[in-house]
Amino acid sequence: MHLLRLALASLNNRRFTALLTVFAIALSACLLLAVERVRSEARASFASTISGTDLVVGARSGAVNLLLYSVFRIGNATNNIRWDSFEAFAHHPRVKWAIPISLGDSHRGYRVMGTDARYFEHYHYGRGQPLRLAEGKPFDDLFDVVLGAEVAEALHYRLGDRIVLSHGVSTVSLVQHDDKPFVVSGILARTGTPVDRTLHISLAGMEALHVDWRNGMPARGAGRVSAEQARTLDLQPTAITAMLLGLDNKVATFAVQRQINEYRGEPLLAILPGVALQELWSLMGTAEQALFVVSLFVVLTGLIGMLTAILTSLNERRREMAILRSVGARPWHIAGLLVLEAFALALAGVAAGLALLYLGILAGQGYVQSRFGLYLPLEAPSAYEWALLGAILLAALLMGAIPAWRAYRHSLADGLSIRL
Amino acid sequence: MRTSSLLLPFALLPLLAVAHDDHASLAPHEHGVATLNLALEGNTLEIELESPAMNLVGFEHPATSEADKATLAAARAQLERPLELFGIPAAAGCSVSSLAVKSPLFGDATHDHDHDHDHDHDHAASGEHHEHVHSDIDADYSLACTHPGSLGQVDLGAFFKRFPATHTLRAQVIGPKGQQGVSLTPAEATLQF
Repeated sequence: MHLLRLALASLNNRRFTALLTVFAIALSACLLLAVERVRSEARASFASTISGTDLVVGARSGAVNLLLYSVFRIGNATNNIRWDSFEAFAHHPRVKWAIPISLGDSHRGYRVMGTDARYFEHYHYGRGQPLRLAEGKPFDDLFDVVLGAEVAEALHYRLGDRIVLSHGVSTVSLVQHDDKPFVVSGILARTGTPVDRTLHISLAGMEALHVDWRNGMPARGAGRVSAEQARTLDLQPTAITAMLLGLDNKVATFAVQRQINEYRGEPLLAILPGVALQELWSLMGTAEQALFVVSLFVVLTGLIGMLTAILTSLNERRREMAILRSVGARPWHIAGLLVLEAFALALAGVAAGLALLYLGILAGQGYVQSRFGLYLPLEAPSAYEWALLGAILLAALLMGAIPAWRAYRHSLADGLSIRL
Repeated sequence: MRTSSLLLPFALLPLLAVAHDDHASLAPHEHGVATLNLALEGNTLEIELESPAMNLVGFEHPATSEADKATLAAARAQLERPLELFGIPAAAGCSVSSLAVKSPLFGDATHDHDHDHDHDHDHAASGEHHEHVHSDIDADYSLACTHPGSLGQVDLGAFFKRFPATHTLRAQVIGPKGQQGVSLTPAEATLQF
């Protein structure tokens, strides 16, 4: 106890250096924790995006690619699939429900998804939670749109607002579907998944937007079909982007997957979302590990900074040591003093790092959520994070042993023979 | 004259189309790697194994010599005992309710499986004659388990030991905790349900 008080008093005497050291350790600990936090939260949020869907079906490409564009709205489809194929598998005896998905338009950077009522009924996320409407009702009219929570909040939309969708998915779109505005009919409750950043319209609405398009351009003059005229047309889609399937029995999954992959109508790919997700992790694993190793080295640099600061101080503190020895301190007291000093510095650093992390999360939460769709909760450190922090403290203790050993040896040799 | 020789490849196209019509897809065929699907729902555990014959018997040509026939018979006998081969815990109380082990090597002329694995690589574009044909061995099992809750882990160590030419099993697993994809190797041969 006395030793700790002495160590702290001695540190207080050199408070500027000590503060800088603490700050360096805090920054490095914060970086390590942030990397770990983002990694685990990214995994958790990806894993909780889709639940209860047995198969995702799209044009034949790669499993990860299909998963990313159909469920996470990242990237684009390589090809569409025919409506007949959807019909064929929606009526498959083992298929309990099928959700069609049509992508390709956007609204101020948020993706627009064409689907039907089955989406609101069968799409589940997290631990099997269904989608819930916070306000309004699912789309009913041809030009109704249901907003994700994030879209409504960020763009300040309310029920009944009229919005214009844009063609294509780039943030700056040159072609607007301004002749056919949509009316907000419902707003979904927040889910913490990409659903929050999606605008949902009916498949017929999606078809109506493009009904008068020729060769990738809107028709001009007499060729234009107005919103009212579009209501009278047959708006049955001929192609969709992907479909989500739920089966009546999970055991049938592989058989249905094989049938879809060998479907003769067109080349299709059926994936198990959980399996494709794991494939994605193994791709990202290398990058995650690289980040982790880099942040470990940053922590090491912080600790070495601390070691340097203590070692350089040893010389100027020979007098301090000598006095301590003269009043009866034993060599191991001197050694303990230095170890405690290192530990106190690291502990302060780790605590400050934690504080920094939570400040950072508090400040950046909204931005990260809207920009990357990643929700960073303000929760207590996980067991793994505590272990990482413990490892930093342990490393600091070990490093403190180096100056302690030197002081132990020297205090014997030149404790009192010092010339001042 | 010139025109007709230029058109010749197009004239052959329909032939190629016919030749490939019976191949709905060209599934990958990678020696040393096999696909394993496991699905558990209720009391039913379904297992599907798809493996290049090379991994299991060491050759992919029809067995003509006595030694080849003996190897084939031994592998088949082993595949027909899934409980020990796939390390199904005894506590789960599983019994085989149906199984089917199929391969063109077994000489099932009427290979009526819904997918045809006796495929060839797509050499047709270069017009070469196909010298070698790859063969798979497929095994489908349906097990009934009295205590499916005890199926916590499945250890495929025995499978790797019995068929050492297999170095990776790409497993797709559907269990009470959802779907997962795992790559099993002799060093890491345990699967969590």
